[in-house]
Amino acid sequence: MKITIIRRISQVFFFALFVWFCIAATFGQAMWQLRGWPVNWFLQLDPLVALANLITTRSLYSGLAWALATIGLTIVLGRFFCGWVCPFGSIHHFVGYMGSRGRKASERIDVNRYRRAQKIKYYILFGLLFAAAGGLIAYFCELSGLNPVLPVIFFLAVAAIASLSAKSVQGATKISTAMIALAGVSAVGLFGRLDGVVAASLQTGLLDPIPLVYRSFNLVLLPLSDSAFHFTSTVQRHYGATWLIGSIFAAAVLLNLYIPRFYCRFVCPLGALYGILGRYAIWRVGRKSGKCSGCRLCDSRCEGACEPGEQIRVHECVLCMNCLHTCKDDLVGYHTFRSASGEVTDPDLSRRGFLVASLSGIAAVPLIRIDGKLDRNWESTLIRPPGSLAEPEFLNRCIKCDQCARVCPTNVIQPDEWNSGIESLWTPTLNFRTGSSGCQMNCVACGHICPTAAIRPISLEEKLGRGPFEKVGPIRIGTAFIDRGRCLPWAMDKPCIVCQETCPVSPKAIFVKESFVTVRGGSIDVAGAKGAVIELARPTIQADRFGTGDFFVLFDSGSSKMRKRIVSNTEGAITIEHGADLSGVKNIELQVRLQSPQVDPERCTGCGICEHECPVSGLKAVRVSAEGESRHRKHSLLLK
Amino acid sequence: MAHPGRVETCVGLLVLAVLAGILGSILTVQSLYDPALFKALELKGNAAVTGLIPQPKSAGKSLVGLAPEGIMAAGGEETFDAETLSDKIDGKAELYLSSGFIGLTTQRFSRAEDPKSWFELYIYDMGEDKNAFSVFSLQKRRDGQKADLGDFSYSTENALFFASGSKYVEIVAAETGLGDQMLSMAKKIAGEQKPAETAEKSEFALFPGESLDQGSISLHMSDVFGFAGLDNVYTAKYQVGGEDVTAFISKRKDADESTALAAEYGRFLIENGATELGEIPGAPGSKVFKIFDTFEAVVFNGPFLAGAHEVENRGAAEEIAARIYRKLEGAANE
Amino acid sequence: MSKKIPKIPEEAARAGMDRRDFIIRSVKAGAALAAAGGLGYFLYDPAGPGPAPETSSLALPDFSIPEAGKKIAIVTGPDRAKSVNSGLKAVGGIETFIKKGDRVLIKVNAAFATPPALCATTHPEILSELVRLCLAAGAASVAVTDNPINNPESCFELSGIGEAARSSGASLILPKDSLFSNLTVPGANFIRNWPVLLGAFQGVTKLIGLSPIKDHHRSGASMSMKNWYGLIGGRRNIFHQDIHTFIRDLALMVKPTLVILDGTFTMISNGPTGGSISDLKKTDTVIVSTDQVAADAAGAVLLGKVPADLPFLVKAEQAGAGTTDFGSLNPVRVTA
Repeated sequence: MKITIIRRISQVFFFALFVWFCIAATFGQAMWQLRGWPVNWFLQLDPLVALANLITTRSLYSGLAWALATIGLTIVLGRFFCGWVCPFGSIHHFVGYMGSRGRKASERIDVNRYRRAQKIKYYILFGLLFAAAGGLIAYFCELSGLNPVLPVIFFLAVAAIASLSAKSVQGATKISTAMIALAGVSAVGLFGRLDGVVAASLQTGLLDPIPLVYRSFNLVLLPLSDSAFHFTSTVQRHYGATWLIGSIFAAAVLLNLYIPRFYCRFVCPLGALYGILGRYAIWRVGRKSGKCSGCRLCDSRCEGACEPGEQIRVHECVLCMNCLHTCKDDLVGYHTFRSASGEVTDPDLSRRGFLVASLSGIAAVPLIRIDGKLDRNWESTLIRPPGSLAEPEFLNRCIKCDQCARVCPTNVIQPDEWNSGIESLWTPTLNFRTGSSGCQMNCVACGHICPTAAIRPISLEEKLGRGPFEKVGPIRIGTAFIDRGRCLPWAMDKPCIVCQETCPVSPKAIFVKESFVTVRGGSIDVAGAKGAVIELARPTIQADRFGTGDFFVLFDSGSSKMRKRIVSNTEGAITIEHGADLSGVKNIELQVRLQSPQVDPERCTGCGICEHECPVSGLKAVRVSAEGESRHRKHSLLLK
Repeated sequence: MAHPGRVETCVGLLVLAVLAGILGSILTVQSLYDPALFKALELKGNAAVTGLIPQPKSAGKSLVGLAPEGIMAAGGEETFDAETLSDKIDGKAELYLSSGFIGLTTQRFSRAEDPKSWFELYIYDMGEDKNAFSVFSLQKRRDGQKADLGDFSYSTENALFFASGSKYVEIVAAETGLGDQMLSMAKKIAGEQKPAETAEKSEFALFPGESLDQGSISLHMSDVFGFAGLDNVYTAKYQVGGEDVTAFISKRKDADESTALAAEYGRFLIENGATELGEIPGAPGSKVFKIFDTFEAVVFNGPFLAGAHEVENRGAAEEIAARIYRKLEGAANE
Repeated sequence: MSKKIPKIPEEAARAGMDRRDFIIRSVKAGAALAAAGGLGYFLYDPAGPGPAPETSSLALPDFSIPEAGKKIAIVTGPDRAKSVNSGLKAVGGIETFIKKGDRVLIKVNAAFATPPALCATTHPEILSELVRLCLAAGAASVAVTDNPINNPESCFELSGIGEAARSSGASLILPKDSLFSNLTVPGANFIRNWPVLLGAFQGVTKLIGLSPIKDHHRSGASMSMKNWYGLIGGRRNIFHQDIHTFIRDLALMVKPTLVILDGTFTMISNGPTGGSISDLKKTDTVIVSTDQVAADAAGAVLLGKVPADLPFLVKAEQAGAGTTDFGSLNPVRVTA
């Protein structure tokens, strides 16, 4: 059996599994729904997710330990993930293959040659990882506050090991340069505290292919196909910011028609990480000794553009194994020895490029955070799902996979656009207008699906503040505010208590202030009254308008003012409830009973159901903002 | 081009075996999950969200604020709706549910210095004044002393009960001696209620005053005397010749309805084994029934249906029914 | 574009090289595996982050000196420097409180960027004299700190406190974010897991509160206890919702060596900012005490108030922070 056939089977298998996971991430217990399907498995296998989280949090959360399996296999086998498992890679592989049909062998050879630009992905990787490393650097500086020698020894030791182990002088210089740069930053830490200046931000999710492909399928392709087939959701699901997610996905796919596996070769930071991890691979693709006719057909189907016929670039090889069978001379194989024609083990990164990438990574975070979005200028429209960590810790973990937005049964979790700060692009935020309701009281799905615990896996008890959490109270994601300028009873004297009725908190967080207000033009002359029927002097009122139960007649009963509910009305007569004597009444006032809503901030959890249900359907008259959210004590409204 | 060798085939088969293993494991794993994560949402549904079920009205502000000096909360505030009321008061829930119950808020309070000396406050939101009176009247303890909280209030050795506006309130202490604190709290609660806009209890005045036990007037909201068609009935107790007589009055929409209902009630009695004995003198249209060992008198006048219920002595039943009939005549002519 | 394909070395030599290369590579791969596995094992976190912790183990040390006893001195005189000297002598002399090698922290009131003449802040004259006395008593260092309402730099400069500290040999600790850590005070209602300027207390062995006597719109008076408000960080203005209980919390949080109240001029109206000299009254008094509640009770007299007018005094007394009956401490009354 040809190994390339097996590879194709593997690719189809994992791609199908991935699509299945996307479908099965629907909240529910049916066989095709969430149940216990390990829908995060590809994210957990992704070592970039694990490494980036390890750097920012100095911990490896639960399922992320799966990445150790991928890392181990890559160390032994090379970049098997890219060619055999990666669902995004398989899409590129397939589209690239379709795009190459009809191309002559010489054209294919030409398009699969190695390009110097392929090292861009390494710079991307370093930039992203160093942006995540700010906290780690600050941590070492913190340690230096106790013992200044410690970080210096650490960096010197790493630099020494690196210099000794690096093959070339150039490589050693590169690593030493990086270490000196790091030591420089930590030296600053010896004299001044770095917190606030150096901070971490986990942005690998922007280009990490696994979160990218999850995001693209779950937020774009699935809702699009569902709008035709209504399989996973009977109502159309909506997501914000998808124009960008969709465009990036489409561009990445279509570029394969220009160069196969364009994304994998030039952009993919995960591929770059695998390239580095596979440096010492035991097995590797290469040439046996023997006479090569120099036909270069091995390049014709090469997926990694790694030039197996020449000095193979091991770090670019995705183990597609095509060259094993395209070689006319049967010289290429997967062996434990190095290629007979020599190897290039390391990407030839320039010192300048490396420094620029890593230092821009480190510098980008403080640069962005000058805007104060994590401080006094915090964004009150950014409402994080219940159980989300405080913002800096949240940004240390969130990989923008948007699994939470996928699983949310009411579709309120949305990928953020960059109005809450560029760092929060595609991270989850709640939009109560888009969703089909608010955040449901009895649902904790988002925290349980989150692969990195940026949203903690809270229990229902904790969310509702019951049992052991009674003292702490429920988890609040924000507080509802009534916009009295838009609210029907407050602004327009129109009866409405929708928000009060729909408030799910018990006792209700929305309560009403009752008042009676004379309607516009509501002072009316009376011709006479017969029992409960009042004849008006002029037929001026709209028929049937006042019989809703919200309207009353106020009149002077001689001794005192009396108010009686209107049962029905015609243009010229009003029928009121029994029990009043209106003889002699000359003038009445038509009044409406208003119940104007108010929010009790001690009860409101910010679930947003009121905002969703508010009949002022454009800019809602009751809106939730993040004040009062549990995850930030600084954002609280009340003493507590 | 080389043909695949044996090693290649073996590796291929190994990979396929691994894939099969992965598939198997995933199929196993998918059934291992905590259904509790899904259950809660399904059970609760979205009924509350869509506003189809009336939700308890919040007391507006916390009950703790009502505590007088020296009294502090001894537990959290709890609320119950129609669905959960029986969790708190068990079988008694039906009494409230049949009278338009909306919500119950309870909280325990104790003396600041002695947590063992405590009482519990129950505020039933009955939606309407009439409903609150109904549940008040139906549970009225005979040995109660009138409390300083208006007509519809009384206290017992360890407890205080009153209806105020649409609320029916019970304050029940674990011991005697907390009366003053409870009364002070009750006054604050009563003070927050709006006085009734109309004299809903106008039926009170329709019971002839002589030998009437004023405190016994109560209001039955539905399914009165076991007859589904009869609702909104006020009852009162009379002493006639050393005998208890229960009289009842119900105001209907109009004379047609009361006439029809009287006939229906008569049929209901006969179906249940009653025999018709005839008319009460001076009350046209009235009927007296004998059912088992008791007598039932039914009269109607104008929009009112009235009578005497389960009286042991025919004369007493007829006398009370006739007196009520005369009184109703005046009211019906108004 | 074709590249030259390199020549293949001799077979025998290659085989040897290959073996050596393979072993080295395998060792490195093994080391990499072990490193990844080890790192993963040690940093594995199955549970993930929990809810933010309610309590913190940090606490402020007790700076009081029990053997010095409960003392209060009320000094009359127009000269702040002389008064503070006499006052310290009357409670047992500075040597009783400041020993050789002590690191002293003086918590001033630098809340506003206002000139010394308005007496809304600690007066630089009394600060200079106190620093001088501490250093003379053998203090290894004296630091001055506050977390003002207005911008810290301008508050310290405009109030004259910065200059007074520098010229008398004290260092100034500005309230940088990094100096705040969360603190929970046992028995406190509000200071629970709340940021407090704990960083300023690093290595400190003695604490002196030095504040003016002022009217205060919310709390009725701002004196020694209210002065600790300047150690609180975060959005502390929400505590104004229940200021009296909060001041009681402050008195529970801080156990100072000494408190000194400067009532040479007392701000009797429009406090705590004042703004006009006419808000001040010349009262020619300095109060030195080891009991912050007693000091504030004595200071209240200058504002024409009794403890019952100031609920925070009563609350602090009930909480055991001191006594409002300063007469019971046998106040030493001297004229400077």
